[in-house]
Amino acid sequence: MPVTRLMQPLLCLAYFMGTSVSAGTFTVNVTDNGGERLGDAVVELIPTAKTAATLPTNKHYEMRQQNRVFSPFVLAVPQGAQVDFPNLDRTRHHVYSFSEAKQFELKLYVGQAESPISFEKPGLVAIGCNIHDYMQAFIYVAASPYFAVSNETGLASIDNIPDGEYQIRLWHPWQLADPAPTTIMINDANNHLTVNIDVKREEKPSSPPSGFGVQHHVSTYMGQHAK
Amino acid sequence: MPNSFRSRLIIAFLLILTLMQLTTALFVLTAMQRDYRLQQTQNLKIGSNVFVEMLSNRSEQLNQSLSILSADFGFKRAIATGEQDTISSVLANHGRRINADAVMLLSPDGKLLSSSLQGLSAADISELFALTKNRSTGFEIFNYNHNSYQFVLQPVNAPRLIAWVGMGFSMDHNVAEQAKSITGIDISFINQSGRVDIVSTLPATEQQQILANITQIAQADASVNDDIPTGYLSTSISLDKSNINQWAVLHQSNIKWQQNYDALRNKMLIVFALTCLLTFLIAAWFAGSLSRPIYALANFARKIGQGENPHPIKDAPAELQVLVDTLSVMRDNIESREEDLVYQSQHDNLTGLYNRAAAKQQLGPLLTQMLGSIVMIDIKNFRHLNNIIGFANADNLLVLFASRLESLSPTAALISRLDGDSFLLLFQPSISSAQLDAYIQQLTKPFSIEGSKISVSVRVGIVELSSDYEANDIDTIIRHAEIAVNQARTESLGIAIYQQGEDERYLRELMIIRDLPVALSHGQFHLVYQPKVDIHTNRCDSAETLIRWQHPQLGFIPPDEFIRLAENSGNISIISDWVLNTAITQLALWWAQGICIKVAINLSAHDLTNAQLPQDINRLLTDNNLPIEALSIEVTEGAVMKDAQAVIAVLQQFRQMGIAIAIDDFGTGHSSLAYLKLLPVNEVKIDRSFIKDIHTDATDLMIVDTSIRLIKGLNLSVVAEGVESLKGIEILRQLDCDIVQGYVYSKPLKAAEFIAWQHNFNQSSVAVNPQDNEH
Repeated sequence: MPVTRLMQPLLCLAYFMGTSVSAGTFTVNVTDNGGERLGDAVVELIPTAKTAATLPTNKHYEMRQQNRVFSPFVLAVPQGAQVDFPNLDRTRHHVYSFSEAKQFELKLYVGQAESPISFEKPGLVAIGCNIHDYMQAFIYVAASPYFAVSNETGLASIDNIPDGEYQIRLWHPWQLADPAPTTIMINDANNHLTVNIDVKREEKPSSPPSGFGVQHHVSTYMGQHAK
Repeated sequence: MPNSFRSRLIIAFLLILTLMQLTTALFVLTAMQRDYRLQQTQNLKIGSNVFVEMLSNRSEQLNQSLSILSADFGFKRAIATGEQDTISSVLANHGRRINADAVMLLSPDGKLLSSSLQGLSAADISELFALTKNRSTGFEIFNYNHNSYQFVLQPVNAPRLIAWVGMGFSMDHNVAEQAKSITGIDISFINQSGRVDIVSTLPATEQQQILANITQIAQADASVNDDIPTGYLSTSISLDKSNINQWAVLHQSNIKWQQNYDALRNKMLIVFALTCLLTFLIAAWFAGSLSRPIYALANFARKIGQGENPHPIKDAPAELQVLVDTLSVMRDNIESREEDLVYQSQHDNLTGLYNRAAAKQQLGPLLTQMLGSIVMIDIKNFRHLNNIIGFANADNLLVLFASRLESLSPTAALISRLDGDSFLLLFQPSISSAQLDAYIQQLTKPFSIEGSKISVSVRVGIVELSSDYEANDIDTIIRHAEIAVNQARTESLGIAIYQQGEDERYLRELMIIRDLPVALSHGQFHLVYQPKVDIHTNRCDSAETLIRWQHPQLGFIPPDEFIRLAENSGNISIISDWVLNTAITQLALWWAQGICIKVAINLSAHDLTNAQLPQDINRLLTDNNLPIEALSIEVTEGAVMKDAQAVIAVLQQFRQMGIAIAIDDFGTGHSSLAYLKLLPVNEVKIDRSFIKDIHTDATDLMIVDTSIRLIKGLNLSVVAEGVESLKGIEILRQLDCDIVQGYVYSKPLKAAEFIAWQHNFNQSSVAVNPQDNEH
């Protein structure tokens, strides 16, 4: 079980480290079960002790449409964040989401959408384009302010995180099952973690060459992989 | 002729041919049937594959259609709403777009979200959901409420998978027709879930047959059922892998190839019939060419068997020609042997003349006109001649005699040797008396046998042919010739011509001989008594019994005649017995009445050789209380001479018994006087031929006188027979004769008359009745 394997080192860490209130950077190395580094994984740390709700940051988030794909593939935003959907292509896109966390529709537009979309509810929002079926992206609306998305080397780094006990949540678009949340003590001595997620690796959505038949093919191809 | 070579050959030909033809037909038809079936099965397999391919293609097409449908944003959005009514209506709407018969929506984890099919069970749903896992293989058939649906499912991505949309297309008659139009094969869809439903391109009756044989049809894949329904090959494809309740059954019609098969079979039948006919003709011709000469040969042999001389067969096959030639040679040999046999059977071996049988045969055709003379020639005393000159010489003599018969003229129309020394000749025209004399003279010239001159004399009997003879009465003619020859014995010239009537005497004798035994038992015989008168005392105390026969047709028959015939035919003993018994019975009667008459009976030569006779007579006399002297016997000289020794022995017995014996007919036989001395007789009776004319003939008188003296000299008593005149009595009395018998006293009388006469005679002593003198 990946969870139990993960628990043992975490418990060991908790044992050796004394509690402190200093804040630091916590890094997580995400791999798949095979030990390969895994990008696009969301790591969210939720403090177990009730703390004063941190104010939403005014950080700017955007989900671009460039070269007929969404970029980034996975975007993690804090609860209540505003996300822009700038269209950098010359073609129009029709961005939509039927996800429970946020349903919206940006009908055929070019350039900057009229206004950013605000994501009030934590959860996962699957984003598609009605014109380009293969275009797919995910916006992870985190309830906690401590979250990061792993880069291509599988490293996710969360800055300014106070020492303390956290529940760690992991998510990846290709995950085969929801990893069970675990708790972890974070302090100076214990600011790094390696986790693995059971995934089935897929190709990230990419822009197919222009052409009618090929696009049709991609559509069925996509369908085949959407299990 | 079922057994003939011809029919056997034909049957054999036909049998072989039929066997070959049938075998060929069997192989060809079987191969063809197998071939056709293979072809049909192949068709069926191809059809199956095409059908499966068709369903797969259909699935693919439907999938594509559905995928386009499922990618529709409105559809996705409607489904994403989660509103049941919206979802149902959008499903119905989109289902109609691609003419689906059933639509449903499943969640990504296999829960039923919406369905146009009511009341799906969990199993149905999981079955349908399972289809999402394995979607690359062909087609999927789903059973719902006894209907089969081809189902396709497509994911609904928005953009992640939010649902599975499934659409079903009923496997209905249209699908079947479509499949038929592609494969050219009839198709039935069978749904066995709970009840059996069928959708088929076949007519209703065939559908019923399929339903009736459903268990046979709905079986393992790839097997081919023959004749279900009739006239079709069927194979089944299981449509659902799990329940095996749904089948597609493909039916390949046999009709076309059955027609081909029938056509071929009919052609083979025609060929068979024609070949049979041809074979029959050839076999018949062949057998005929073989059997015709055989029949000809058989006919040839049969004709030979019947004694004909058929034309020899020339053009028979070589094998048979040998037989023909052999038969011809055989026929010739048989003919020559037959001729020999006929010749031998018709000819006398010695002389080469016709024998008796052949003579009779030959006379038939010669005597159609009854003209000419039959001459029978006997060599006199040939047996005697045989003894003298020997058999070989006698045979030579016969041969010479025969050749002389043939050489003399007039030439006889027929010369034959009847037996030993008897020859029969036919002269046509008749031979005259002078010619015959000359002929006989030439014939009886001495023959030269081994240097000796041998003379023969002949007896000749002649029958002059006339219309009195029946044309075919050869036997009578020959008998008459024999009678004539017998007659010739007595003739001096040795030639006698048959006189009409001589034959009647012959027949009369035959009749007498035949009737004799019957006449005795029928009382046609009776005895008469002729008085014997002692001329010294002029008394009559004895008589000679004589037998008389009154024949119903022939009248009075003289005793000489029938006794001679009885002696010749060996019947004399029964006559003697009868005479003896009758006389003794009469004697017994008289003696019982006190009339003491002595009676003499005549015994034949045959009786006198019977050594038992004296005792028999003695017993008879004793049995009848008669003295020995009551009976005496008379025997003729001739009878004694036959077998003198035996007769004398018997006579001696009589003599010893005391029975008087008289010699009858003295002077007529060939006896010598020496016998008179030997014979134990008491009395001698001088024959009437000497007595009859004694009073006029001096020679007779002298003979009688001498005889009486001789007899008296031997101390025997003398009886004169046949005295007819009183003068005769007187003379005989002077000659010292003892007893007289004759008509001068009385003719032989019947018993009662005799007694009356005897009484009268003895009473009147010497009175002589002048009436008696007349006889």
